[in-house]
Amino acid sequence: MTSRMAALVAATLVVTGCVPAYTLVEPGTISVGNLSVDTAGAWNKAPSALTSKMRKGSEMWTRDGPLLDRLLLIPNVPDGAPLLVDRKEAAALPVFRADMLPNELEELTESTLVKYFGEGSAAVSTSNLRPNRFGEHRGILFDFTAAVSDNPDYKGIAGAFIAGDALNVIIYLAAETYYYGKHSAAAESVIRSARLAPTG
Amino acid sequence: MINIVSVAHRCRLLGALFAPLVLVACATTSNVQQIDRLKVIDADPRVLLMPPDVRYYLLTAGGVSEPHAEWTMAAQTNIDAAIRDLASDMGTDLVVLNDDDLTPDEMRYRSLHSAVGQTVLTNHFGSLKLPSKNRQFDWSLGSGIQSLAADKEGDYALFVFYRDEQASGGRIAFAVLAAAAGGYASVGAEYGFASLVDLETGDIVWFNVVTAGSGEMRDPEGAATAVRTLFRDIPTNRTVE
Amino acid sequence: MGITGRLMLATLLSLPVAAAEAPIDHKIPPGYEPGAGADELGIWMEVDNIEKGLRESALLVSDPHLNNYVIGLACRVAGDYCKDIRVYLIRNPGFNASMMPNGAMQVWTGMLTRTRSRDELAAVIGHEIGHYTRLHTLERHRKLKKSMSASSFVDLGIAVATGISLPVASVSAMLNALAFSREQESEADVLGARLLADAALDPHAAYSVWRGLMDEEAAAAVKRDEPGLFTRTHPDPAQRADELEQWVTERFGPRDRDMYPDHEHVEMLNRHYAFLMEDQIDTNRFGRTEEMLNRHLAMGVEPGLVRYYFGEMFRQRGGEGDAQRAINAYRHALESDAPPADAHRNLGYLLLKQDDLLQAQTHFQRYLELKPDASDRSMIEYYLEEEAG
Repeated sequence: MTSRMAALVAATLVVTGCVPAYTLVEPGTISVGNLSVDTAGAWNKAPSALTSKMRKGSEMWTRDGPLLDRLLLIPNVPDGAPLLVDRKEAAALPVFRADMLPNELEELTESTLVKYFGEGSAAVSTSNLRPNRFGEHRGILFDFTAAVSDNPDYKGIAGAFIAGDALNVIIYLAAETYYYGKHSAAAESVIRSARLAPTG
Repeated sequence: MINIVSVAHRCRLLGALFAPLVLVACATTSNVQQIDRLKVIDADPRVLLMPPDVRYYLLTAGGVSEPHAEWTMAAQTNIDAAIRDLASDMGTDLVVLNDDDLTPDEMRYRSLHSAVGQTVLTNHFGSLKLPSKNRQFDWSLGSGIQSLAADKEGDYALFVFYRDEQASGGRIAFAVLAAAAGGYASVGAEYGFASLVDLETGDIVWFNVVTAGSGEMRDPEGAATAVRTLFRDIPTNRTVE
Repeated sequence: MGITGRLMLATLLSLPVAAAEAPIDHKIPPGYEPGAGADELGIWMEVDNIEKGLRESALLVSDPHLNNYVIGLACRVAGDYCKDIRVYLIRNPGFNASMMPNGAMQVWTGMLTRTRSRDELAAVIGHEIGHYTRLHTLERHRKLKKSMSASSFVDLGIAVATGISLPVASVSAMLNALAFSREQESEADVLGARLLADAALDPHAAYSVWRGLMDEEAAAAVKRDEPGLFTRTHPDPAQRADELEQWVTERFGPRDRDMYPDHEHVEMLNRHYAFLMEDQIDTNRFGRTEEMLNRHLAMGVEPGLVRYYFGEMFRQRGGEGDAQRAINAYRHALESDAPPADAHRNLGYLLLKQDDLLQAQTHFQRYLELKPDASDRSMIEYYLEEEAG
């Protein structure tokens, strides 16, 4: 097959929406559900085909490819709901409760990350829980490391706050070697900028 | 209103339509080359060959792929010899690292390289391109890799991955699959990649993907052909004639 | 157990003793390596690659003490086969030990929290060695190749070895696909019990370990699709345990020693308890966790530690009255000889929820005194600065 034919095939598939594709997230103020975040540089938003474990309205962004770094934006998780989707209802996902305090939000995220990678495939440890203000809301930041089988070791930072009984979480993780250092400042500034989008 | 089911259905039809085209595809290599020549230093540059990951599978009539020990061992021996020959042709001093004797640092970078390699296949050569990159190739293992270089006094590291007769399986296969046509057909029986990493910067200075017809690695001549295909346009320390 | 189920009973009743005792023996000698046949050699080569993955797994436990404990025990049970077996301790709170046809064995850390003694841990290891020396593992790989398509073979091998990036349900489905036959399980039971006795360990642990697992299974809140090895791949667990008990008793006599307390095993758990239980808590499977904690209390694991994790489990479960149960558990933990500092912190948080700021602050203060370099100091100080309103 000539490269022109290949291009034609590819173009047809893209135009008909058959091939999932990343879309550009331009620098600026971005809305993700009811959240607003500020980005200084460009990111790539993953197609929904690659985020089947995530709740409707959640997004995954990356800079160098999801195996190397990813930002999970999970807005507006209601009381009693898990942070991910569990279609078979067998994963025993931990659920968010509106009365959770900082240590519990940290544990909720840690356990959710284990489920995200697959129970038994990952060990996650958190540290440096600290207060942080997200717009008008009090919230938390913390760091974590994740050992995931068949993957490089990951390092990450997460931010979370509750607004109107709903939880908003943003998690960044990247390969501990090189990639975390390369992007963590940009990722942390996105996380710290998170606040409820102005309504009305 | 877009219905997910109907989209899936349409996609399957299109896939069926294009699958034969993809199957006859015979593009052999895709290549990224950041430098034309290796660093000029006093002696020949030292290249650390990470243990090549080469495997042969026997595709049985029932469509079952069996790992084939003798073929794999023959291919491994041949590919090792062919790489050594090529390395001396390139004007490099090749250091072959033993799989059972890797330091934790070497394992860490092999693991990182595996993730980077899969990322390159999927997000650079494949259909899942990252728009922010603008097709620019800037993947790296980071300059922290100098620790690894210092240990073995290497200037470059060479990674080789190769599979034969394996229809699918593994994330690499999936990546190449996606690269071919959004996941509708197998790229064929042989595929692999080789990549050259600058041990000073950690940058991947050359990366080559082979998707079909690179040669029969089970005999020494075929292996030499395959290695030449796999290492096409690799920067050398020789003056280009 | 010897031969299979009811068939074995029938055999015992109807045949002379010598025939009933027809030994189920190892099929391969110590030091075994496959011959030149492409099939077995190919399988070894493939699993050698999987083993390489285990060796470099991010989840491989590096702690030398824990490794020595498990590897030393495995070697003791393996006897003459010790040199053929390579043990990889994998950080995974699930219950599993398994062997590959080339002698590589993986033991998950969930085995350590579930077995009540060295003997029980050794029983599971011995059972797996039985599968290996009877070549069941090899047969299973052959069967697997027949039943799976080309595309899934490699993934499957790796996934079963490491559980990579696959949802629990898939791994579980694959374990099903990989199930040993009932006859094979029985053979491994018998060989496992014999290996225990040969190593001067208690052969009665061979069935008591399965009974412990059954208790946990019964206590599990979410049962569906959990990779409970025993129930999934070992049919009729109660019957099997009964039959094994009968076989062991006839062969080795009634149980002549008390399994509790096993100081060595308890000491191992005390030393690594936080590391092991944090991973268990992360599974969010509190029914199982609770059953496990009750077992640990009975075994004599440091009560301060066990009570603390009772608190964690109640808090995670978050049902009616669980907040109060958690508070009680933390208080209980703090009365012990070795109270974990974290109990002060988490008790403080629960008291905050009850609007008891003063008491909460007292515990936060104590937490920081006990753990001056706590990484969440700024979070705690935030609450210490808060004024009662």
